[in-house]
Amino acid sequence: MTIDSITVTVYTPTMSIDDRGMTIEELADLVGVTVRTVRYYITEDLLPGPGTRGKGTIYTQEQLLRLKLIRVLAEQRLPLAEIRKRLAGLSTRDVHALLGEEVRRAHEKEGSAGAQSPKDYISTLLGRARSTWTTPSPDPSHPAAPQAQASPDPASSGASSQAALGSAPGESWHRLPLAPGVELHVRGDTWDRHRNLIDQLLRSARASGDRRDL
Amino acid sequence: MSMANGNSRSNGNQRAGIAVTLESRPERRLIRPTGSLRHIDFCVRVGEFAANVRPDRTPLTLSLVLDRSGSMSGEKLATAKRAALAVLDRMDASDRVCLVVFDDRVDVVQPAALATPEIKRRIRAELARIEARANTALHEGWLIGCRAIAASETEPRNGGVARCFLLTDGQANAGITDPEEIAGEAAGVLEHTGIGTSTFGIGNDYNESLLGPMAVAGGGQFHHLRTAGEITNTFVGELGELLSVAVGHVRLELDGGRDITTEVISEYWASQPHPNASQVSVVVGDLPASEERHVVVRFGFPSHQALAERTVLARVVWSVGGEEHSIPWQEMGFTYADNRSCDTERHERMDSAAMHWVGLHHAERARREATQLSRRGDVQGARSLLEKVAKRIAEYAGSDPELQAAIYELLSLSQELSERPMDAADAKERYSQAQRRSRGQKDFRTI
Repeated sequence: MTIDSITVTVYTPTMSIDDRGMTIEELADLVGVTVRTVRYYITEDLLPGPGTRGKGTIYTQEQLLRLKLIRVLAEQRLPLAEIRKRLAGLSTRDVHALLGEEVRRAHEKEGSAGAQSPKDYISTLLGRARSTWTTPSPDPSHPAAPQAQASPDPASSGASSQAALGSAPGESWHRLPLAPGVELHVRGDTWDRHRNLIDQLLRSARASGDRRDL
Repeated sequence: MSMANGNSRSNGNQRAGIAVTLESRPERRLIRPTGSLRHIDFCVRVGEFAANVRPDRTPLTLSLVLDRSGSMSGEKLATAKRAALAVLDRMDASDRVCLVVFDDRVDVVQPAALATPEIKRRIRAELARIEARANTALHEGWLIGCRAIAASETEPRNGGVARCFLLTDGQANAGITDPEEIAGEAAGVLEHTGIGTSTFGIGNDYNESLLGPMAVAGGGQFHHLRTAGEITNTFVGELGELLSVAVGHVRLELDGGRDITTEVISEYWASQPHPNASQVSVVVGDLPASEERHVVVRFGFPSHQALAERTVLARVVWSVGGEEHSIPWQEMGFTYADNRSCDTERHERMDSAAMHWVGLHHAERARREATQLSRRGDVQGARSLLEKVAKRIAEYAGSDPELQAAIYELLSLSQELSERPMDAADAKERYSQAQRRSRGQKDFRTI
């Protein structure tokens, strides 16, 4: 038996795009453009053609990189003539480097449009941290430590004993007795935001107290 | 091996040109058909200033964040205060300083201000009044210390160095306490505000798994202080480094492509700046002149059926005088080859200089991880890791004396663990030493 003279390309599942090359559909899909756009760029001499024609034509990594760069530059509203000029004579290595720079520049531009000042950035982190602040164990020697108070019945919905504490300059805190010797401290400016949680804790404390009385 | 040079330039009469170079040494160049892991040793070098040039010192902005919780009472707090004063004495009126103290409350004792004689007098008086009190809002104290620096800047810092020194003897037991979350925030603060973080843990009760990663992510240094007496030396020592920074915010940027995994073996914070891209950015830190740092990275190449070339790109980015500089991307090529060729390369053509650093950094990583395993009670896991890594290094160590010493240390530690578990003091000392050696940093405690 003789081997047929026609070359047959065999695709195996483990072969990646890097090995077998890409079809025009795959190339377009990877960059997020239509096949028509790819053909247009080839016609406009922005992208080198594949060298062969017809079904099964293969595109390479080099063409993929160039197409990505063309898209990044096009998104910056550069005219085609300018893009053609920038790509002229570039090696694959140069294309890769320029692509990295342009992607980075585009991301930085996006970031700076909504960028916070350093102080605001840290304030955001602090705000987030304080919203999860848990009550530290009480220290009687601490100047801001709560004083003992007679506790009302936590079962009275909404009727919780409150006292403002000066924990840090400008801050006020509310004290909610849950049981003898047990209090919940809530910072004044977070009361509304955490109302559901506070109610849950109060209900749970009430239920626990009821069980103890049985 | 690839080398690329880049030169930074000064503005006006500020810093003179100083060269930053990157030397990249892959251990091998061939990849097996079924895929391979390959290390590259990246050496970042900062050159010297020209002989006839005396550059202006980079202005420093420093936030001192001191723990005044109850456990710091006595000698610890007294020495922390003396250390803060020693640092203050070495700053001049072109620097900025602020002082924050915390227990379960955080107080900004002195907002960031130029370190004039008057401000120094004020800080001395305030320090004298500070007493130890309650629990430890470490996370909040640190953030307020960073914000105090950021809030003081009505103009851009113009390339100066900004650092927060966080000193504590305890655990974070108020506010956010998760070490990974806090380390992530330290990386974010460095990236978005340029403020780095160095941590100082004193005694045996603090969490080194919190302070260590915070300093790594924050581009600073973690110091384990065995006694209160070591506070001053480390404060002053690290201050000396900050006052001699030549290039700031040094980052190693890597790009191996979509399907190549990138794992940083050395103790540096790595992140992906752009979620869908393949680039990885490694925070090296602020470096003085005539300094070098090794970053060992392991790349995972996938399997392929046909021979093909793969390329890893690398470059260094840094800041001088508020301007960013970089060297051109370097390319390192790898080629798929049959197993026989790969075996021959392994036995005959491995880069021994690269493997020297690969082995040392794997050894330090094993020591850090074994310390943590042992502290969690998994002594068997710790020993198994130490012995496995020692055996692997022995396969290529040859007659390299430092690698032989590293193997001996790993096996000795495994033996020690079999005899007794690691106590808190020992764990902290080993952890901090492994981190310091991996990052090429100095031990200031005894200088």
